[in-house]
Amino acid sequence: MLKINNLHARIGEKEILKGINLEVKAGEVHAIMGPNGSGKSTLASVLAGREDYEVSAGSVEFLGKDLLELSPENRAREGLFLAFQYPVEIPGVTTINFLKTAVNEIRKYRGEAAMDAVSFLKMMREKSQLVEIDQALLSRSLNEGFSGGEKKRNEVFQMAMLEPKLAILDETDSGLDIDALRIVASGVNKLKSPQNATIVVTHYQRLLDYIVPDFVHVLWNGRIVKSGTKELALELEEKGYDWIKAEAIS
Amino acid sequence: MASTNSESLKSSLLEQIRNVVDFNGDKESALTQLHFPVKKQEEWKYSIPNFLADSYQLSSLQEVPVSSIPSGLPSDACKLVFVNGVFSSELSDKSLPSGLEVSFCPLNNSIKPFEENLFGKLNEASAEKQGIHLHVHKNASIEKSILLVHIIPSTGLSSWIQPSISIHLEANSSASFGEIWEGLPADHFVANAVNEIRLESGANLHWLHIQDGTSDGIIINQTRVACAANSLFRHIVLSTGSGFVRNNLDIHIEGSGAHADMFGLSLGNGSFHCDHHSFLHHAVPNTTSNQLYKGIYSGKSTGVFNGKILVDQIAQKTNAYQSGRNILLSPDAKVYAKPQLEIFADDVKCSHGATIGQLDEEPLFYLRSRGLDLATARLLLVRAFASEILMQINSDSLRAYAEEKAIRQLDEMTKS
Ligand SMILES: Nc1ncnc2c1ncn2[C@@H]1O[C@H](COP(=O)(O)OP(=O)(O)O)[C@@H](O)[C@H]1O
Ligand SMILES: [Mg+2]
Repeated sequence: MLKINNLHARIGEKEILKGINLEVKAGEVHAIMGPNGSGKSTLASVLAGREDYEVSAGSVEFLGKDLLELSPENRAREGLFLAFQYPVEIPGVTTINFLKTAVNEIRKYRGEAAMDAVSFLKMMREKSQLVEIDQALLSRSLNEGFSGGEKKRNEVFQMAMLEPKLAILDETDSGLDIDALRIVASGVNKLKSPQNATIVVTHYQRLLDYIVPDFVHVLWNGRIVKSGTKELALELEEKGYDWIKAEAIS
Repeated sequence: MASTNSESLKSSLLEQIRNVVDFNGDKESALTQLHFPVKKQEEWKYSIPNFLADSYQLSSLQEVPVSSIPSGLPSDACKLVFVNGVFSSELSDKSLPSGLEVSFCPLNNSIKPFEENLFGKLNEASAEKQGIHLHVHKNASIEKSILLVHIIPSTGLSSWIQPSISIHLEANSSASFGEIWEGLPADHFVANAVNEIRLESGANLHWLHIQDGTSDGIIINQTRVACAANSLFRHIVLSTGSGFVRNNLDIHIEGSGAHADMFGLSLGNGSFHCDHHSFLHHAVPNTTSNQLYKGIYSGKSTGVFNGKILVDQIAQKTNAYQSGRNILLSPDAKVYAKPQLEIFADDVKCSHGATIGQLDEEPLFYLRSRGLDLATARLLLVRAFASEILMQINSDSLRAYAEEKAIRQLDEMTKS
């Protein structure tokens, strides 16, 4: 589904991603872990198409297409979804407001008929129950005055509505208490299918108690320096990152 | 434009006004002392002074078909129609809401005399003949919005028109007015308009001013307002199009407990030039005011905001807020903002600020990452920006009407 090959990205003069290789297949859950500042959000942003970053080398193939050639909106329409680490506040734009447009633009791209208002509302009700988000939030200005947990839940809600093929969750767990974490994780698990895949970016292993990964990768200093199975996450929890850094340097 | 031309324009206009009204010698000589503005005058610095044509036809009431009244006006409102600035009883609604009276009457010019102001003086001269007075009776509470609908028929000539409207709300009355300029001709014209508004104590007036789809025309609007104790005045102006607009809104708060709101939304494309000059005078203790002017400019359009707040020495406990926020959608669009506070009292809360920027990248990227294309994302964001002003319109039907104008303009402006 996703093939990242030797991906380099920079912002200004500063190189942040220094050769990422990663392959994700349908049905898989990958966790990307790593200390703060190692480049996890940069990777997520580059995949979603943020224009601040310049890709200086490498390639990314998504469902057979050259992902880097696509505009951010066409990546979304192809089935890529990013749950933002820091979801932006947009005064005057409600979640319902833009999501209805988003759902229909994606359907149009795929050659499907637009969804009528009734079906849209029905779907919204179902999905908001799934992630246990208060419907009232959805008709308020996006993220304005939302608590940290509400912002993250809203991201997962949007993911549920847009039914992506590949979802990237960028630290969706940070700032969540244990109940919220459980709800968000169960939302993600319910949306899991053999046809789609998930990349979970986190630097705590506790999320992985709820979303069980098939693979765990450690990103450090712009490179994936270690990959393994879920046992690697436990090892990291126990020993921290220093041994990996040491291993990577030697 | 060379000064000789502007002198000859002035005499030609005076000549034409003289054909309509008698001038006494004093007025005549006062007028000859005055001149059209030039760029070196601070008040006109950013508003190109060479926009006037060489000659104009002073236009007056003429017969136009009923179909000249813009369709789509709120149907639940009372319509008073002005053709070339002159009240047309024929086209206006015959039955007025109770509590409202309409009469011919010159401007009494009691709020603040026009001094070094040729536009104001010229208007005043013809107002002797064609000024209209709207009177709202004591305690009357008028439910229907009252629309002052301005029509400028297209004649192929450059028209110069001079509406003069005075409004008086007696104590504890309330009313909602809409001053509507839309469906304006493509011909060049000058609308030199004056409104004089007086609110007695406890009166409540809501004024929506729509200047929609200006093309080659010039609108100069001078609105002067006096607010007595405990009165409430709200002014909202929506300006769109590609023409030239200069609005001077002067509000004098003369009674304690009074409050004034001033809101503006300017949406410009093409060569639109929109200049808001506001002057807010807090002359007595315990009064409040709030101003928010927003603008979105694309193409080669220009916005000017010059907002002055004057707080007299005796006007303690004044609260006055002023803010201007602008978005530039194109590299050729410009905004000049000049807030001015002159505060002579010490126990006051006043603030002002102005921002000028582009549409934020973060929300744009966020929306695109959800599948919205760039144009749709931009439209959604500019609509949200505009809605903060539009939602200040009290009447549902007037708000819907204004929203329709704003959205159509924003659609036009964000097409990439
Ligand atoms: N917009 C930016 N401008 C400059 N430096 C940036 C920018 N975004 C990220 N960086 C830098 O890139 C590195 C990686 O950041 P990030 O991808 O956010 O790390 P992580 O998500 O792993 O904590 C950090 O050193 C950060 O300071
Ligand atoms: Mg991060």
